[in-house]
Amino acid sequence: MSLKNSVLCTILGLALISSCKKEDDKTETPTPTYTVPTTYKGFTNVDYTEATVVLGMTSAVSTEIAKGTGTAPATVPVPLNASTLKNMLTNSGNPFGNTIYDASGFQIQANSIAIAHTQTESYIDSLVMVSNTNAVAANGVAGLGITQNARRLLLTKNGINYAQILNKTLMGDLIYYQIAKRVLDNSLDNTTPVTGKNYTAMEHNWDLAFGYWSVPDSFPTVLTPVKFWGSYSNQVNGGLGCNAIVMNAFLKGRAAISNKDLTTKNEQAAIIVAMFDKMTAAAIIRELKECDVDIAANDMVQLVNHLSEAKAFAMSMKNNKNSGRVITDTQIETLLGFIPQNLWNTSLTDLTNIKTFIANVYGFTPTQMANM
Amino acid sequence: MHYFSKSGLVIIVFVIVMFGSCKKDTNGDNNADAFDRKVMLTNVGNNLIVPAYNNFQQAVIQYDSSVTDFCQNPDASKLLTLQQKFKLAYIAWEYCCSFEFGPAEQLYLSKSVNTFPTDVTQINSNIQAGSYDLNAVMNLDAKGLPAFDYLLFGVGADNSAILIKYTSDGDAGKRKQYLMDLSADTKNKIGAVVAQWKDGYLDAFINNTGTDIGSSTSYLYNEFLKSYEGLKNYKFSLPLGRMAGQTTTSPEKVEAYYSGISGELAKHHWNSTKYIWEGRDLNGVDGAGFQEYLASVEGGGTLITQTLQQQANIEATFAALPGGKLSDIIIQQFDKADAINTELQKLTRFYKSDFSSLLGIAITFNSGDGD
Repeated sequence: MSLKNSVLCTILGLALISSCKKEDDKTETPTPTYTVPTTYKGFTNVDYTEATVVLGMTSAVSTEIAKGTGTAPATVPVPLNASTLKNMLTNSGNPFGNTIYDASGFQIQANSIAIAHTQTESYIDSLVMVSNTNAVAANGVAGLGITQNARRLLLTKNGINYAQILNKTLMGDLIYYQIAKRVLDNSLDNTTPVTGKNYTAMEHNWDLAFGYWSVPDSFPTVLTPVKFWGSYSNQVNGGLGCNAIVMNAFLKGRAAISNKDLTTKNEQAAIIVAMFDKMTAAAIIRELKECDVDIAANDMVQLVNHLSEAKAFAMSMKNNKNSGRVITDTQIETLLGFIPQNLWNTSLTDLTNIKTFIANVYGFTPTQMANM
Repeated sequence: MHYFSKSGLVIIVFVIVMFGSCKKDTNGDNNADAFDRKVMLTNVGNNLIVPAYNNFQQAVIQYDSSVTDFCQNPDASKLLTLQQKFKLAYIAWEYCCSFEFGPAEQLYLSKSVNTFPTDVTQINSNIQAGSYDLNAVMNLDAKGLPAFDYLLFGVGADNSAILIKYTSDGDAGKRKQYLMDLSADTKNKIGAVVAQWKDGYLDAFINNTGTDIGSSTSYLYNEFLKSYEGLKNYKFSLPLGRMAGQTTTSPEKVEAYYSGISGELAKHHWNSTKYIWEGRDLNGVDGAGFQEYLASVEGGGTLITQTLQQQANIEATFAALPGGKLSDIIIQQFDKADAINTELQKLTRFYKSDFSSLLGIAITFNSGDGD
């Protein structure tokens, strides 16, 4: 962006800020004297490879689990091996067969919130158990479920798809956890470049948080490729407007760090953390809306799959106690209580209760709900 | 140009964000268009939707009363009465099935009332068990009008065989109980929807005058479209074997397979969607509807002419549909039923892409997140 345009933006922005400010509000935010780029490419000293690698490992875990269903690259269901999968979580013994991942020294587990470590391992045990049943999934029967559009899923006797539980748990307890932890961290040095690098520790930390979001550098002007939270941001953007809000906060916060403006950096960090909380709630709504589509299609396998996702998002909220989280621990228990133990027995009332409860807790309007 | 558009975008985003923070929600209605959508919504809400729900509710109450009467002391005459009340309720339903938003969406009215084909195995398993959660998603295809269709017309080859299932059959008691429970379930569902429309939703519907997703016009249009496509796809294409991947006909998948009133119901369903397009109420009075909305925009007149012509073509194929069960016609006179499907298909673009782009109302059908 040219200087002319950035000045124009600033003037326009200030004019509008003043137009909606109260007269008696004397607290002045320092006028930024630096330019905020319109894309992450605007920063020249960015490296978020670590985040990309950890997310790649997470995808590799999903691919390995899919072998248990007979989904490509497997041609027939292969019983899963617990050690193989757990080694992927801890990056032990070159588990990926990918030299970049294997030699990276990074791992999913060490980057996840501590409370999730045993949970994710137990999800793997459940998946291994189901993959060894050699049965067709049904109410009360653990086995392979096939949706109407031929997706193959490992379901427990209660209809829980632990592949989704694991995946969505990692979205909350690895990705969101990493993002929140890193953007809120003010302990890192922001004066001297890291040895051999052209960024400070704080800049790098912020960049890793951005990398974990998994969106293009020019998001949301460019909408693909997106994965994990990048994908869900897009899905719930109609209701929350989160794409631009989070992107602008990442850009503004990063520019602030490079210009030693910690006040602005902290404001943007708070925006990001609060929006991811809302996005998690909206993701649950999104899954519930998928359930309605499944009902219309009379696809119970897909319905229990989507409910598994909703349940995992709710459970991840429980682990992730970031400042600004709207939902309380008690409310999360209430929410989880609306999801039946046996997903095959889900009632219409359960589905309505979940949606209504989230909407009330987060203050989502009917219009927002319609757009999620 | 690229440079210009990028910085232009920033300014626009900035302005939108800033305005959004201090401006009151205007309900998304920023179009300075000539058409008064509130008039249309008032007409559709007051004269189409609420009366259709009321009619269905009354029909269900009468049906429920006949169920009670029949179950107390089943005989041939009461069975006939009950079957007649069932048909009236089903016909009344066809005028409600295009309004699956607001209370109906929240309470899963359509899924609860008319999920077909019904699951006979599930119904019989529920009857045998004697205990069931009618609110469970698993039981959506074991209740509602399609379940009544089976229970009143499909459990025996003729009425005397059917009557035996409610008198001397070993499960007669449980079957009667199931029939009564399902009837109560349907009555409660429509009762709850009627109550919500009365208790504020009608006003909310009329006053939500924008065209964005979540506005009444968006809901009305999308559910109208979904209903129309449901008519075409599930009442004709699927039983005719015309859906992607089908290699043969599936006449048993018609709506109301056991009573055989499928053709009559489809005609009513067709009428109900046409009435919404016209803004015509159940007494035949024509008020503001999509037709008037289209007339208010450039190019609308042409689309109206095209639509009217194709609607007439469809009516001609309905008129040419022989009497008797649609499932039999599909087997014996396939072309007669197929002609309706063909003509319905030709109307799709006039209801869907042409309509949506002329009025700028997005089609919001949920197609899944794919993960």
